[in-house]
Amino acid sequence: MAELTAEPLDAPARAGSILSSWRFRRTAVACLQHAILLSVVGLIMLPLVWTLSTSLKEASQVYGFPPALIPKPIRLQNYPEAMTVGPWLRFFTNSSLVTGLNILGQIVACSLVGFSFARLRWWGRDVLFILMIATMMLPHQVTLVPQFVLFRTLGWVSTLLPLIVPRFFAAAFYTFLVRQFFMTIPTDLDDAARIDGASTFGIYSRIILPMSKPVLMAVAIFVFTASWNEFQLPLIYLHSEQNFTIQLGLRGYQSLHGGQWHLLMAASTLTMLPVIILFFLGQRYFIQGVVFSGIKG
Amino acid sequence: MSDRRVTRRDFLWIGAMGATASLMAACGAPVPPTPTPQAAAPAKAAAPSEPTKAPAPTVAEKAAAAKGPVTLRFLLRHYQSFGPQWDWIVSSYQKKNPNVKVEIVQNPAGCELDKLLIMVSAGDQVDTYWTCGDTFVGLATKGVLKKLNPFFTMDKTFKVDDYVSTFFELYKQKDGSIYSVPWLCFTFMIFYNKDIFDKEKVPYPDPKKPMTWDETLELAKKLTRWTGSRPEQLGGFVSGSTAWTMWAAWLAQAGIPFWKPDMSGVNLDNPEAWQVLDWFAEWQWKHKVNPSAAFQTDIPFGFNSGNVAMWIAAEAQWNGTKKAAAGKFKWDIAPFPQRAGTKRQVYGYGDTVVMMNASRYPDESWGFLKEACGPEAYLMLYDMATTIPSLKTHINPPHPTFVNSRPPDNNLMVLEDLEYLMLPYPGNSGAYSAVSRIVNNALNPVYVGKMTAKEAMTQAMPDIQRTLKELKDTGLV
Amino acid sequence: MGLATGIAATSLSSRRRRRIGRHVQGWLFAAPWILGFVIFVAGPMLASAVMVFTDWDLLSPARFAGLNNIRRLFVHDPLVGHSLKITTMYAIVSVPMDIAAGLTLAMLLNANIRGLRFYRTLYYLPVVLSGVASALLWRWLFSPEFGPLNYILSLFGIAGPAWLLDPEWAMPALVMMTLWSVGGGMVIYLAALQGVPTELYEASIVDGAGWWPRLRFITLPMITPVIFFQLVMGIIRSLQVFTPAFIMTQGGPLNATLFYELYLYRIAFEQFRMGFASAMAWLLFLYILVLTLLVFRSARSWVYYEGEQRGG
Repeated sequence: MAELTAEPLDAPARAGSILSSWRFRRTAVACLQHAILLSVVGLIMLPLVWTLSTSLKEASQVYGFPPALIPKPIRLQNYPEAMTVGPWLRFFTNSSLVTGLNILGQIVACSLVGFSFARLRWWGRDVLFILMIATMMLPHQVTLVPQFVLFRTLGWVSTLLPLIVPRFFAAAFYTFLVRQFFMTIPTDLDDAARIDGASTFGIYSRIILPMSKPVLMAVAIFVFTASWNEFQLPLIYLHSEQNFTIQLGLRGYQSLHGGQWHLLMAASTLTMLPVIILFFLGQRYFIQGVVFSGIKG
Repeated sequence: MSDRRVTRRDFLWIGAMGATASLMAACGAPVPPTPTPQAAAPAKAAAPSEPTKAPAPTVAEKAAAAKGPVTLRFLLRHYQSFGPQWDWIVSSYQKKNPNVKVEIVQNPAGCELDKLLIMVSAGDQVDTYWTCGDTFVGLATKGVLKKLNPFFTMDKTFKVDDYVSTFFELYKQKDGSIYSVPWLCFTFMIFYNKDIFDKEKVPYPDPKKPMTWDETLELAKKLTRWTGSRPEQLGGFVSGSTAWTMWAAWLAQAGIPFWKPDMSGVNLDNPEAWQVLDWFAEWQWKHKVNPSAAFQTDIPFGFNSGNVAMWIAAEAQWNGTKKAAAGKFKWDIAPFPQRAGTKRQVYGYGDTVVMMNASRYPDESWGFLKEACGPEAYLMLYDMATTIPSLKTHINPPHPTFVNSRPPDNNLMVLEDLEYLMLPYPGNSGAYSAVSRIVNNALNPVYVGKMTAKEAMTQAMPDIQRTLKELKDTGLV
Repeated sequence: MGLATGIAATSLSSRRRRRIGRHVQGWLFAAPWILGFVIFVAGPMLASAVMVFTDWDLLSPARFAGLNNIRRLFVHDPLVGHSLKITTMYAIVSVPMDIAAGLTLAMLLNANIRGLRFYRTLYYLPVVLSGVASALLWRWLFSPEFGPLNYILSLFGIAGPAWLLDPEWAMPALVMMTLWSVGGGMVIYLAALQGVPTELYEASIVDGAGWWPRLRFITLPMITPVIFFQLVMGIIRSLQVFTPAFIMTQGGPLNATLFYELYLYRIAFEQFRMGFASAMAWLLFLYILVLTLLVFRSARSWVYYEGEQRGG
């Protein structure tokens, strides 16, 4: 303040230089950011690039040494060829069914339960919350057999039901995650709504949910990834090819074509594709985040 | 804030997306995810829900079972790789037994013992099962498998003597009980790439006379080409999938039995054994004719790439090599190397089919086992390059179907090999698999020259002893 | 008088009714978890707790074994202690690394830079890679002779180690492998950063605060609930780590990567000792529970909840 009053005439010039140095710094920071991000991308992408490149190679090139990054010639037929063995459409359908229903079930169930744990006060809440966290702490190997007995009693073995029905009940992990997010939303909003006569469900559906799209999207993506890639439960519960999921198909494929990496990699690239697409599209829900310039996204 | 606020509609959209995806899936799936009558009914009928040993079915029950239609459940691992073979067996069996339907429980791969164990202990029984060594002994000792000796005496059409005895002994128990019949049989040998031998102007190995260990190593060195620190062509190769058994084969070859008498320990605590293990490891880190054998799966530099001159593997690999080499390189086989001054021995192994003790239809199951391992099934298996003969009638004289299943051109060599067949770890394949994993893990640093066999084995020995003791305590040895 | 008492009584009972209603409401909203717990989770957990006191080989009826399994845990089996020790070491290294890496990535990717979607998708990709394909990939990556990792090192004149084949390097290799899927954590932090009110940043920029004070006094405190979540889940998950060793090293070399849960799996399904495996499982349960409760206790002093003062 003192400086400004002392040299009032220089003010516009100073502002300009501040602006340009600010701009320069921003460019420098951006360059640095890109440099860091890209170098990490290189590390992280190595195995995936190799998957993709192998999936486009000829059988003889797969074993070429040193391994070529860009296949020559590029062989797109690997993809249709990989798909001709085994009923992939069926695997894909089964996986989509399971995954779709799991996302639906978990988003609804976990947001309700998370709301209850985060925003409502009720008898037994804290104990049940700890109990819920504790259910994740027991290694699942020792509950596999009792669980199988349970599902067998229900007559669900050799169907997709063990992979679907339990997921309409809130899973501890996602509930915990959702609860943590709900805890960050100021309570004033609830109080204001309550004074306006909103019911508890109204607060949940009109206040909390609309503000939680990022975390619900994150849950959707996690459930998608987890269900799509699930291996052990389908392995144990599914007995016939017609209800196999895509990972079981891939495993069978691997055992069939032990040495034919180009086909195996084509198959696994295809199985990854839906998740990648969903993630790419879904991330607009957490993309409009903080913008440092102060302009609201 | 308001612009980031999201309406309820958006939330519903996420839900709707999930619902649409599943609806789409549901429309595409003609079979709803409800138990189909075929799948659910036998599952319920097959076994008691308590994890108990089912009592042997009474005569009346058996008679009742024989009249009505019977569904046999068969657990098939590697259902894709071995699907055609088992489809053939199932349809051939069903043709002969029109009242029996065989339902295949498909398992994508491997010895997934956890699936089988969970199914069995929760009462979701199968009648028959294509076993693998790891799982066999435990299941036999625990009374899960049915002893087959009574069937051998009862059924005059089946003779144990028709088979090469070693393949039967593979899974024979100490008290003489036999729980299984051989389905896949193989011996180990050298695969070699004729093109590389031609290119290097080196004569092919003699199919009649095995090379010595040192000759094999010298030949491998001659056929290896390195550019700087990178291999271009390798002389010898023990692939990951076979490495875990190979050291046992070398040891047995050198006259060192794996087990000490009465399985009180393993013979890995003496300088002779260490010398063999070190020699084997030196192929990899010292002479660099072979990449680290520790990989449990194929690395992209296997024999099938065409860049490896020699590979030690079993017939189980013929089919894959046939496919991979077609139109790319010529190959053939030569006998397993022999240590100078020892008796000629060839290392053999096999898989079998077993019957569950809880099966309600033992007679039908026995029929199915017989079909799977019968002469007709074997002919089909030769055709598909899946096994070598273990039926004596197919060996002497060699059966034309097997003879014609070339390449490899020297395929009759393996029939000669059967005279020198040995089991490197007789008696208890389950215990072997538990102990061999410890040895494998300990050998990894030896393969890369980080430790000597003596150091590694000394460190591993307490683990091995404890595992053996535990197996004894639980009745698995 | 009578009227007044009447009014008081109605208001009291209606208040109580409302209070009871609040509890009922809480339970109703939590029902999707409570029901699932009762139907699908509680039974199997209880069954495994009973198994602790039995000898059960999965195949014949279980026999009562008293405290044998528990005694065995502490006395007879040195591998239980060994595997618990190396699993704990794994957790100590990987949990902070995961949190730090995920958070750093998320902050870098929460800025307004070009190619944001591209970067985010790329970083999430490893999480998507199926387990079936990734085992193959990683073994190839770590291969001493043919792996690209040692190839890259050799360009800098470094002779790479034998990674999975070397008792000293196998564990670091597995830590690297798990760190590779840091994208999962990144997604959670991104969602959390989205929730930090922009007004706070605007105010701080007007105040002339630099990036460090902004990070230290605005961003980090606002997302502590999520860091807390990641810490708790990191402890739970890393102490139950199983897959990397199962598919890559089988616990070797020389038990260097014999994680607790891998050993437990072997006891249960390879040695048919479900009773002892259950005892091991419940020991791990208690171990994780104690650690988690300590974290929950500490949360009061560092986790900042906008919405709720109590709990944590």
